[in-house]
Amino acid sequence: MRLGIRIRGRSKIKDYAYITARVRAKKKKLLPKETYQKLLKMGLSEIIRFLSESEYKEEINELSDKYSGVDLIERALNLNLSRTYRNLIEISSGDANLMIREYLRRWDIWNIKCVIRGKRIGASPEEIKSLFVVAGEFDEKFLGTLAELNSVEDVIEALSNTRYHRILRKYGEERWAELEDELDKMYYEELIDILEEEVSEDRKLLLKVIRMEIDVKNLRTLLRLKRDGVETKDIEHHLIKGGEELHERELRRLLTLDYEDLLKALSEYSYWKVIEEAIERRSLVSAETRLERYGAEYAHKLSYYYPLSILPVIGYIISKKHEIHNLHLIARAKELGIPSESVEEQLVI
Amino acid sequence: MADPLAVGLLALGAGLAVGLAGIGAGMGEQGIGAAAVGAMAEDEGFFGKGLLMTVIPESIAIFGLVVSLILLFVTLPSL
Repeated sequence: MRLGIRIRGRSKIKDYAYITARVRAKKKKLLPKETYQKLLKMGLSEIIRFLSESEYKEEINELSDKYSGVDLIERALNLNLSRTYRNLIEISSGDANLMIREYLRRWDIWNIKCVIRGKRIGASPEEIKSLFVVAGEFDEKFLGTLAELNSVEDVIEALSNTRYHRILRKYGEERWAELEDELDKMYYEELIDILEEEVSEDRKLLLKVIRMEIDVKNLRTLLRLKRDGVETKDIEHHLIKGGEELHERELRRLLTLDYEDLLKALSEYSYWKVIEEAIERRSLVSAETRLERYGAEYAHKLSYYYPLSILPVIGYIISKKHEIHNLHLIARAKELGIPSESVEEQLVI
Repeated sequence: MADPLAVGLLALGAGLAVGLAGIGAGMGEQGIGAAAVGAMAEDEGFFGKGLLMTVIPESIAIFGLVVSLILLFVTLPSL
């Protein structure tokens, strides 16, 4: 028995050695900070040329016959993100594979949200498909059929064999804002349950990152809605349970405060040092960007202490998402003629 | 004539020296080998470094071999 445990322990090292080495090599290929400055100065066609010579080469070449301009960039970025994430699932094994798959299930929820939003505003199937990030349980074919359906009701029906159906049925099309919140809450609850099922160092570490992520999400919601003077009862259902520092009781206390008092109360938490400067400048966008960046930094920092664990992989998943977000943002801003300064503030770098 | 028991134990020791050192080297190499292959899958330029890193624990196996050779060719004839 003892020997069995020891051998399993060794195989864990082997599993993680492989995937973390690959992920570290992949991380090196992410765009460095300085590149964004260059991209901000470029025009749309120059950005496409730049991307066609970078890691996005394959996707840009593949799609350049059918699409052009910002449409080409967005589709290529989403396709690249899907492929990168699916590749991580393919190259991982054992517990690491399970954790990556569970973590990436958030993209299923993103895809469901895209379909429902698209159907509500009458977007074409082609437009909806362009937003998909095929990294969760649903494959491209299934998502394609969802996008082709006629109404939200049909989409909910088509999802009847999935774990999301209960919530979809309960809230339906009429309460879609709540529906989106509930899907997010369900995702985090299930993820925490799965990670708490078995006690292992990796699960504990991932749980820490997830709880921090929930805190960041709740903080963003609180800051934004409190600043806009939204009623407490309207904020409450947006908040997600299971945070690291902002427990349920803390959240309830913060909910009762007004914006200025909320800022004072937040100085008790470790997140304050991240957002302090931005809040003093009265720039909420910048505070949100910093919190996002902090999430990735947290996973990377922890991964230095635990090099052979799931953390380098999760850190990479987050960083890759940020890179795609930044590129989306720059491409959209270029098309709409938004000045570089305001885009720069929103870049998560 | 050397004591047969001593000769037997010596031969056993020589075998254990090579065998255990081999197992130790193998255990050391499994993580490094997996990581090297992973890095190489992403970037072929890692081949040289990866190979070098993978064979570093191999020196342990050589130490074992040297010990067993000493036992067999130096200690055994002097018994």
